[in-house]
Amino acid sequence: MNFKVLISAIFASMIAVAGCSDDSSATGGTPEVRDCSSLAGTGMYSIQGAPATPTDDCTTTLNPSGGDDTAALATALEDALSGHVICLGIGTFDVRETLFVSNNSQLTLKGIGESPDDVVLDYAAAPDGDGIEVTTPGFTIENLWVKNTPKDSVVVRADDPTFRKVFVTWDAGSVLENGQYGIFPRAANNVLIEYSEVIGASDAGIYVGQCIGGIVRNNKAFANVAGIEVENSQNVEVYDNEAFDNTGGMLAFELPGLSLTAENVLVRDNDVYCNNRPNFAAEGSIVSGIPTGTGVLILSGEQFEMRNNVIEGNDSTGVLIASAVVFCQVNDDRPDCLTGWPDGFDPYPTQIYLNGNTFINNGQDPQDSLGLIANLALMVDSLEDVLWDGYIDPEVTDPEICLGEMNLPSYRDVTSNACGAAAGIVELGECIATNSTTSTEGRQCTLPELMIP
Amino acid sequence: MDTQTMKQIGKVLILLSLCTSVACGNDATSGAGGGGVGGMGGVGGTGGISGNGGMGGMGGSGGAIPSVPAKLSGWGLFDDIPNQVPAAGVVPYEVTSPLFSDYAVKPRFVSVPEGQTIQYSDNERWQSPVGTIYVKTFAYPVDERDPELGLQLIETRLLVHEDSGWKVHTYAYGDDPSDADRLTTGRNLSVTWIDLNGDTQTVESYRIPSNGECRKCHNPVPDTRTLGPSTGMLNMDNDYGAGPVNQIDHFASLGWLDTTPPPANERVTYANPFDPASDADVHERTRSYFDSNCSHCHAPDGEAAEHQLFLDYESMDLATGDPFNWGVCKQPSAATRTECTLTFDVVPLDPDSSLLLCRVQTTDALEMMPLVGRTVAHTQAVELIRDWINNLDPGSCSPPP
Repeated sequence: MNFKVLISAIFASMIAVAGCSDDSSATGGTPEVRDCSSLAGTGMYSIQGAPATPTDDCTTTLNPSGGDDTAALATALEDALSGHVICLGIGTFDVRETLFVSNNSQLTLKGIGESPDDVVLDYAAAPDGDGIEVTTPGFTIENLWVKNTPKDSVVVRADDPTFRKVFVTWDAGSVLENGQYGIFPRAANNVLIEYSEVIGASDAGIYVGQCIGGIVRNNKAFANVAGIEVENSQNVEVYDNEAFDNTGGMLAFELPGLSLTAENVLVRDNDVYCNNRPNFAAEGSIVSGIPTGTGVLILSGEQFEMRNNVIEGNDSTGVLIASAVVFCQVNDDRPDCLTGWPDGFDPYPTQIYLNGNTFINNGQDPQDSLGLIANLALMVDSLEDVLWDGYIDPEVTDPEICLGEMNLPSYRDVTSNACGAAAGIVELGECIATNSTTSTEGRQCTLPELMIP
Repeated sequence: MDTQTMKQIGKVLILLSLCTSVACGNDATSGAGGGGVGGMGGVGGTGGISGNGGMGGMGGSGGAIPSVPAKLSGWGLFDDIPNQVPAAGVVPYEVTSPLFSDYAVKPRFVSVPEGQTIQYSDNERWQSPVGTIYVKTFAYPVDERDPELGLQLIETRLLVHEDSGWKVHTYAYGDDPSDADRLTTGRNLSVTWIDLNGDTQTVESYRIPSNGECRKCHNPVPDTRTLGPSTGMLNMDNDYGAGPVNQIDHFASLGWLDTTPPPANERVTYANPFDPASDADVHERTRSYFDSNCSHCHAPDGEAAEHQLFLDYESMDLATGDPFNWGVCKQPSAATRTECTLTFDVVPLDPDSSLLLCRVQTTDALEMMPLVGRTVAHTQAVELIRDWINNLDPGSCSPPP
């Protein structure tokens, strides 16, 4: 398994080198072009400018024992009162089971080192399970390194959580055996995630799901399957983050079967580059369908704006705007991708506004399903900065997919809304070959800029 | 077997005093990692518990923390812990449809504070006053053929209703069953016993849950709730020393209920799913089983409500319920699946195409249901659910599985 991953990683980096050095003039852009082949991290927390963590408000301070620290940590979290601040001293805590924060609210768990590198919760000896699971509101986790969790690293399912300077990694690198999600609030309204760094998650590094109200800023997510993902959430602002070297840099999803729809999500001033890592997600998981080399994937949902981001060096495409219909056609091999959706689920993305972003050198070596579409259906070597599947809700006259009024990115409507009945990727490919267009007619528009309350 | 062993508990408890520290020496092997739990009551070395839980030391702590008793005896709930003889005012009870817990037998007790009453309800879960303590001990027989050999006590769990909500505490027994130690993390144990056929049964990795795992079912503050106490679950006889008496009537006679409940034969009774003498049909048995084993999450007000699979007693009313909400032809919404890759939760007349059954059957930690509380399959329940699916109204799911 590791060997296979290694080989594919080497292969991918060769492609990346080739792709990035090949023909940087394709976009005709003047900005300096990044070298996607040298992205390796240092293995240390690398975010600059993070605020210092106060250490004078500790209710309790625990230090690593040198042995199994699970019971002491669990008891401290269990017996703390609401509002307590549990501080962890410098060193590595040996944690062998999930730690739960579910007995009292407004709890803070933080390291008192100079940076997250200094205080480590290491789950290497845990046989299974998440790292920390939180179900009480107002939880803050700060200035900690959470390492090697068998499953998700920090899961919060309660309102008003704060993740600040949380560093999440796995020693094995980017492999399937790693936990799925790093920073993982879901059904957690008013979430704040900042100055956090996640490397190697086998699903999403930083994830916001089923949340109303969220800020995701000044984070780094790299070497994950998905860097930063916002799913079935509303009123979320994602800004000043870096997402690189993932399979897909940023995702904005609405999935069926969940209680909240996706709307009013603003992604601005982020740097999304070189997301060309071969997909290492579990087979059958939704993110396993993300084509390697996708900068941003917008899957269903409405009222989504990307403003002033840099999208660069993503081999398949810069921004892929897709309906659940095409995702189903490509990945699920189902005969009813057009109609087989639960009541209340709208598979079509609408009111999507790409507003003043910088696109550099995307789509130069399309991979996976986009590779098949480019190479076999369209008979081209490269794809555009922006792809839209072209599917339109039969009950909607204008889906309001807008690329702006000027300086439009290169763009392709993949199906011209003609391929919804195609079953499976082969039939879809044949249909795309005859219907795909790069005309921006109807896409040259603007929408009101989103305001996140 | 669960039912039969439950019925033996009364006799077993009285006779447990046979198990002295000499007869019940530690004949089990301690697992790695320290903190091994020794077994008690082995006949010829048959019964035994071995542990792999480790408790590490930890330096440097401070701050004002309210104290939770470090020992079970600190609560004063038992006059005799090894024999599980409750203190005055602590009353034993049983439920018609127990949560499956790896075939453990589970003596239950409740204590209601003086002068306080439980809010009785015909159909809703009862609301117990602040100060109430529910107590449940998890144990295995040594040899089911010989109740006089007693029980192997594993752990005693408490649900304590404080001003700030329900609190959970767990006490694990070690070599000496005269007391148990507080445990906040979980612990895995191997348990063996002799069944009625004389065969050795083993639960390789019995799980004492961490406090956090307890709250996965007894939902988070401030809503952590009791799961068993409801009219339907409690409307059965128990013996409080003067012959069989209805438990709810007994509670009422103690002055514990805030109202006079209707007569026992007019109260709802959830079926005992596995009682051969019961005349309940397969739907009623399954309905009762789902209520105690699934509805703590899968209910309109449950933790997993977002998945729209509602297996609580109310939602499974044949007359008013919607089979879609029981999973019939419902596509599952949870994502991670490797073993149970099926299209629908329940396909009528096709148990092997029903994800729900697969989830109940499997012991894959990522897929099994319930998520916590068992490590082995409950074979009787698997058969019951199979039977239930085979007796649903025929209908085809679309698209076909």
